Amino acid sequence: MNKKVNNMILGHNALFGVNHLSAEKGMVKEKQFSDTKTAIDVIESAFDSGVRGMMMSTHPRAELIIKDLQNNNRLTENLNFYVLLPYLQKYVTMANEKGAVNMIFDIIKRSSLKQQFGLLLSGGSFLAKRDLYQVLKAMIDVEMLMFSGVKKTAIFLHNILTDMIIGLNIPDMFEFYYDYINTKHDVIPGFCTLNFPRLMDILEKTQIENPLIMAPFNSLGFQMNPSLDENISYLNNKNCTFVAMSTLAAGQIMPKEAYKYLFETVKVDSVIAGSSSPKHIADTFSIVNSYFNK
Amino acid sequence: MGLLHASILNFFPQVNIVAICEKDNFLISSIKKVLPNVVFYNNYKDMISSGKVDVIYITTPVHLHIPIALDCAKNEIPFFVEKPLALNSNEAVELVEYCSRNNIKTGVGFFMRFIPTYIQAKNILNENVLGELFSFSSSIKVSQLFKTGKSWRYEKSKSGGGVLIGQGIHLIDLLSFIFGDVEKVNGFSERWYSSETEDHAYGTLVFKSGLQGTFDSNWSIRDKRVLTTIIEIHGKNGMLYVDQDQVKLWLDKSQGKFKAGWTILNKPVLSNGVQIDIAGPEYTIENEEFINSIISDKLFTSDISSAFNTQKIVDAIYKSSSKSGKSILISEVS
Repeated sequence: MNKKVNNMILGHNALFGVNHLSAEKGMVKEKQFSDTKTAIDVIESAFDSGVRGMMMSTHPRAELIIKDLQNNNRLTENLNFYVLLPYLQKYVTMANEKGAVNMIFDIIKRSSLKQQFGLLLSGGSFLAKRDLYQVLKAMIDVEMLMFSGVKKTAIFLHNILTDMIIGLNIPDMFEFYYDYINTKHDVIPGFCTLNFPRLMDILEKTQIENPLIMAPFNSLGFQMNPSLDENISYLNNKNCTFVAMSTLAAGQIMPKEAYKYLFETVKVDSVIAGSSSPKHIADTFSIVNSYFNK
Repeated sequence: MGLLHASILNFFPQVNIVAICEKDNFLISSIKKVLPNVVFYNNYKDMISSGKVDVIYITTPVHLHIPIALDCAKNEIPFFVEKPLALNSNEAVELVEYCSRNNIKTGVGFFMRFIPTYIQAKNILNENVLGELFSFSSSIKVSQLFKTGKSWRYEKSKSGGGVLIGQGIHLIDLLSFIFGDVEKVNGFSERWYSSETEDHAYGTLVFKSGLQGTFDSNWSIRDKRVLTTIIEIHGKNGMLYVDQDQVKLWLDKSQGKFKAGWTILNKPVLSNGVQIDIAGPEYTIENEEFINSIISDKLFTSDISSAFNTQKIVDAIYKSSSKSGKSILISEVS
């Protein structure tokens, strides 16, 4: 596999009503994008601005957007998808409704027959087999089903899962994820985190070299733990492929100021940004593009 | 919640996860695979009497909170228990009295007390910038349940009730944190999808200070992707709005360091980095302060005395709701 990360990626949060600054604003956006045509218009606008990467989580509406996109050859042939796995709020709601173990069972029932058979092979239910890694593989594959018809460049592990693994200090889990995404899905395995320095520390205990990492970077230090300064220090001294997210601190910082700070402070390989407004997308990526083309 | 707390605590340099008590064999075998140095117990009494643990976190279904906490207390082990403290305040009386007499360090998981926007709102109100307070309205809502739920959360014998004790109690605790002691309540509840617990609970609270206002808790609302907790307070000189993301203050006349007109303080401006952020910095801060309260023998803001008061308010609301909204004094409960 020899894939390169696009230097501009359209974020999906605005399309799914996620706003890390304000749940109220996010709700307004979710209503705005309840019609997939509006989402497609935003994606088209980004594409016209030179964006060739598209982030997508496994939000329930993602499947509808992908189906619509597949009617558009211009986009499907030229857009590269970056999957964020999984859309956790869906699982939190399911676990709250039916309990964690029932939730896992329901998810596995949606996996391929071969996979279900594989989980049953050792006798009894997959729960009796009690192999955590087999269950995780099946869950990843179920999550990826909706992306089977699109071009993928990378699959990012959601920051809550990445950061839980950091907290529990299980570097093997990162290696499991990295190897499985590489071999089964043939795309770049990536890690989303809100704790970039600590992720780099734990990845140094693994065989993973030059990891693909998506993490916040903005002049306010918003969502950058433990501090803005430590993040800058690590970014300037450690080896990784870095995708900067939350660059506008959920709308608190204007793009011109945000990207001047970003590109003058650290080395960055890619920027992910999203907006509900085609004009804002064009303005934002025009600024980002100017820095990458210098 | 157990996994979240364990992930945060294990990261702290002063803490090691040494033991887990769990009954589900799939979860045990999964966790053993990734945490091979942790000792597993099927029975909490064995873990408590092992002599190997310094602090215990209780993240079980609610009906197990008091039996386990009491065992911890009688073995002089500090404990943290997820909210609510108990199925009802009656259940918690022996524990609260025992811990008070024997100086047992305790914590209860009312994490919203550690969200910077609510702390800022409390600080602003303490400066009396709104002048005489007239009234407040408050709500806690989430898009969680649109059919009959299947987990223990919807079985009254295991959860203590529905949305009020499940989610609304966070708001009740926050209101107590900000406004002080409650004197009386009126409450109402409705089942929308659940068969034995309420999905909507609402009513009024009157504080000992004289301030009164409304609360509204609902987990079957369709437009709240995440748990959204809003408090709006009106006073002679203006108003204050707070949710988990921002504080908005309007003043007719400047007061202290706040100018007339709008002052808006958003989360990024109010937040600082933490040593590890897994599902929100407030969980890390909550755990840091609890662990620090044990190591340094300090008070922890959300201990069981405070949680017991919150539990009594919730009991009063349930009692009022069963009597068609009749006013119930907190002093009538427990």
